[in-house]
Amino acid sequence: MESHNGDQLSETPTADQIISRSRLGAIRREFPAQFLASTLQQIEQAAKSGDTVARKALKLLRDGRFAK
Amino acid sequence: MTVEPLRWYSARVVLERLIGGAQEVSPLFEERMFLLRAKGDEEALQRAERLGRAGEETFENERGERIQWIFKEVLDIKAVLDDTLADGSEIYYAFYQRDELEQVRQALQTKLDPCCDPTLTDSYQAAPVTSGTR
Repeated sequence: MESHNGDQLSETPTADQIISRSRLGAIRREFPAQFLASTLQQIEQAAKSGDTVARKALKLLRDGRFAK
Repeated sequence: MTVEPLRWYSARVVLERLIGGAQEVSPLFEERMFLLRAKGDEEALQRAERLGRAGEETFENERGERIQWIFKEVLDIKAVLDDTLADGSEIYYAFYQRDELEQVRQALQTKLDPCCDPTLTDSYQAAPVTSGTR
């Protein structure tokens, strides 16, 4: 994945970038570290294949509780 | 002896998050809703508890802290009214008074958010999920 500069994000941001851009900082303590560098699509695929921690990551990203 | 037929149930199950094996001052809970089959309420309750325990998980956050999600309780079970499920089937119901509804709404903070839904464009502004009058 390519990040062009500073705040500008590529078309497929990682979970880390999504969190920085549009989620409250409190989500970081809850979020599984192994998925910070994954894109949403990668996390969705892992979740669909039965990875329970990926499911947790997806839930945290999607939940309005942690939205800015 | 009659054999009780299986029927559909929905169950609301709560898990609690522990950090480093300890409860926090501000604990976090996750509610999961399961659809399950059981012969009666008691079996549905037992099944919901097993599903909750099977969903326990452990991982590390970016600080290297051990995050555990453990089964806490079955909040509710409801027998689904329909025998067969299809698109649009009602799987759960609950009744609230006004203040209870407000608490639920505040806790859920449900929004349509382009962040994690590719069907919403980036120009879509996050907005509460709502229709009708409040």
